Amino acid sequence: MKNRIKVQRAIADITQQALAEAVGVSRQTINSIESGKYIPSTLLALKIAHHFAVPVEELFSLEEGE
Amino acid sequence: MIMKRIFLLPNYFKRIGALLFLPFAVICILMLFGIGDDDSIKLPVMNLLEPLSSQDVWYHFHMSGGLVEIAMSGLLISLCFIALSREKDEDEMTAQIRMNSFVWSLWAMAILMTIGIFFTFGLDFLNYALIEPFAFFILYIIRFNLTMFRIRRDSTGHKTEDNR
Repeated sequence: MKNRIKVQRAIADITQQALAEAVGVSRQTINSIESGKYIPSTLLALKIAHHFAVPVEELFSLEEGE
Repeated sequence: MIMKRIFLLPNYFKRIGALLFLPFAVICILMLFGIGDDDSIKLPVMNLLEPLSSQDVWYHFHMSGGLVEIAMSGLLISLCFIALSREKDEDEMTAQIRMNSFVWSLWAMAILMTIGIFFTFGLDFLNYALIEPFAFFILYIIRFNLTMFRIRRDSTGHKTEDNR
């Protein structure tokens, strides 16, 4: 699963730490999501999307074959 | 919200567990190799299993050497404290790492137990089987903490560039 969290962070000009605090997880979790090592739960995906005020599909998308 | 309930102790129990682990582990290892006297501490104990096979009562009390009981229960408590206490930054990813480490440890224990069944016999097998539950905790702790260490190390590498 691909994600655009890093891009959205750059647009919003916030750090991983700030995003982590806003959605209630650790910075390591945000880092792992951005690097594709961890796929977040629906709840966390929605929280991140809500934080950036974008639809969740704009942040996360399936890769070919998934 | 049953799904959100996680039965973990507060983070400071990890430190208490680490302090308790070493002395109890040393005593257990010494007792396993026959060094040390179980009768150095006498305890009144309730014996449940022995009377089942012989008498018409299903339990009886007697005095018994208690060093092994104290050391083994102390070791189990210390391992529970280390394995089952929260991380400072506990979240859903930590929970998933816990679950993966748990499954990995179960597989490892199944393999170790199979080896034990085929290659140890008699009293050696009983000793081997006695160590298994403790080994499960230890394997879980090692696997979980190694994974957490790798994730923290990897994310530290990204910290500078991402914090701008």
